[in-house]
Amino acid sequence: MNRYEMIYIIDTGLEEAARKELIEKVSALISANGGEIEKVDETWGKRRLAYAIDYKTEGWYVLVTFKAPAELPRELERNLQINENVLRYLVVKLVEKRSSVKPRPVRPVAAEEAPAEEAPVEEAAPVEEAAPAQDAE
Amino acid sequence: MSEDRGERRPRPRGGRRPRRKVCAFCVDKIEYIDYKDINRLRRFTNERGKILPRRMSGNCAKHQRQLSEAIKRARAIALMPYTAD
Repeated sequence: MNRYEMIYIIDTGLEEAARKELIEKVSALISANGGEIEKVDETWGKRRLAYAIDYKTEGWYVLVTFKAPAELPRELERNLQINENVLRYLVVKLVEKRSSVKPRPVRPVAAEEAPAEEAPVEEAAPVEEAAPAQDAE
Repeated sequence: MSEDRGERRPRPRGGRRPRRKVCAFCVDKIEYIDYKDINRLRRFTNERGKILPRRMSGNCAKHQRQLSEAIKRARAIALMPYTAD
């Protein structure tokens, strides 16, 4: 199993219900092929594209991180290629190194038993607070 | 490339010695340059969207390689332009 990160752009002409359905479908495709979704990030939302794709200047960005066997990205890309509501996609293998954006949540195995969404946020805060306090003493 | 980097070189007569640039990513201790970090990446392209050469950005070879990879990924998903205007 490798960790991957996928980003894809959905046509903004698609209404919300259909968009949700498409995101759901992509997630289901990952799970169905032995993948394990870690996070679906829609906070990017609607963005201006840096250049027009099929005469469209806006797109809806979705970022997905998942664990999957090595054969899955190929299958995933094949399906995204077919779907005409997906303007672009990019699947990248994650590197567990200090990133320029933010430290990636590298969680120990124990943390995965907890509810997936809540755990990283709550864990991150106390650790950061604890560290400076110890230094002060 | 090496001209504006070498420090032991004798100073050219009448010329100003260019200040040695340091790699911005080494300074920030970044090990992986993320293609999503477009504000940072944008600083290493010119206004036409071309990637700045190492002699201008001052990056080390390792980070310049990572940087060009990141910029090319960002271009592929329309976060950064291939060309502007």
